[in-house]
Amino acid sequence: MIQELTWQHQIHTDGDRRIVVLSGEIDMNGAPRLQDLLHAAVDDADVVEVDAAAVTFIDSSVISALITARNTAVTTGRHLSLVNPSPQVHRILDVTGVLNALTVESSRP
Amino acid sequence: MSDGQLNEDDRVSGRIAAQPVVLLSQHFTAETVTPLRHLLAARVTAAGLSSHDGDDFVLAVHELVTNAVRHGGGSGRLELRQVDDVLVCEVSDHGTAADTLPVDLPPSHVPGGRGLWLAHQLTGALMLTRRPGGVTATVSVCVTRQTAAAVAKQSAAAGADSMLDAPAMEGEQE
Repeated sequence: MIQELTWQHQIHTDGDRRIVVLSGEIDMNGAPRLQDLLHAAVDDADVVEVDAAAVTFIDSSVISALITARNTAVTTGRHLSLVNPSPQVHRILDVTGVLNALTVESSRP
Repeated sequence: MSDGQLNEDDRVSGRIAAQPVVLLSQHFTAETVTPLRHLLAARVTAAGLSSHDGDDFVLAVHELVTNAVRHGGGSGRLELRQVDDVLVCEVSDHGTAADTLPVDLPPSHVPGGRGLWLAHQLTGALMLTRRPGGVTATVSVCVTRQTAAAVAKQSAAAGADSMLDAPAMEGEQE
């Protein structure tokens, strides 16, 4: 098991909404734990928001985890979206063409 | 004419070319992907790469390293060299799947397959070389593609030589 202490998470509950607040650097060694975390959140709530304001690094394996979780949410009639992407997160999602797909429900005030 | 010919011959034979300087040479496995990325970031910053270009270059190389770990036999070697003002990074793995390496961007609902595309996109060029025992992926970046302010400052310090390059900075993205 690879030690990866480069990122943290907090989960806030707001009615039937779960807000997963991430911080730090998440790479291929953190993606499996993120995947589990997001799937658990989607199991728990109809609406999951992943707050990435304090995320300073993601790579393509994190994008894969986000898309997999979002696909799971969609097929079970639930919602998962990314909110407040940090500049680094915004850039990589933009470059890979998944920014809209992952943040489309983030426009709530 | 004969002078021009002579100069070209000198370049081709390498007699006046800058010697590559190895800035980093590291074996890696899944366990060392994260510290290797931090080390690479420190080295490219020390080499003078701007924050924006450095972030892109480090992410591109990280994707190559990740790819080597996941699809290239689980380990590999990273070598970062500087030749004049160009940083060249080679990531060599022990994979055998060079003919199936995907460099295309998948649709937004498909989870995987963006690593090599990202490396290509962020550096402008990605070279994949198939060796007998694996694949070597190479990306490069020019350290002097800085902000206009930094270039002006450097020009003032270094004299008139680099002034020739300054106008090109106007077209820099962001």
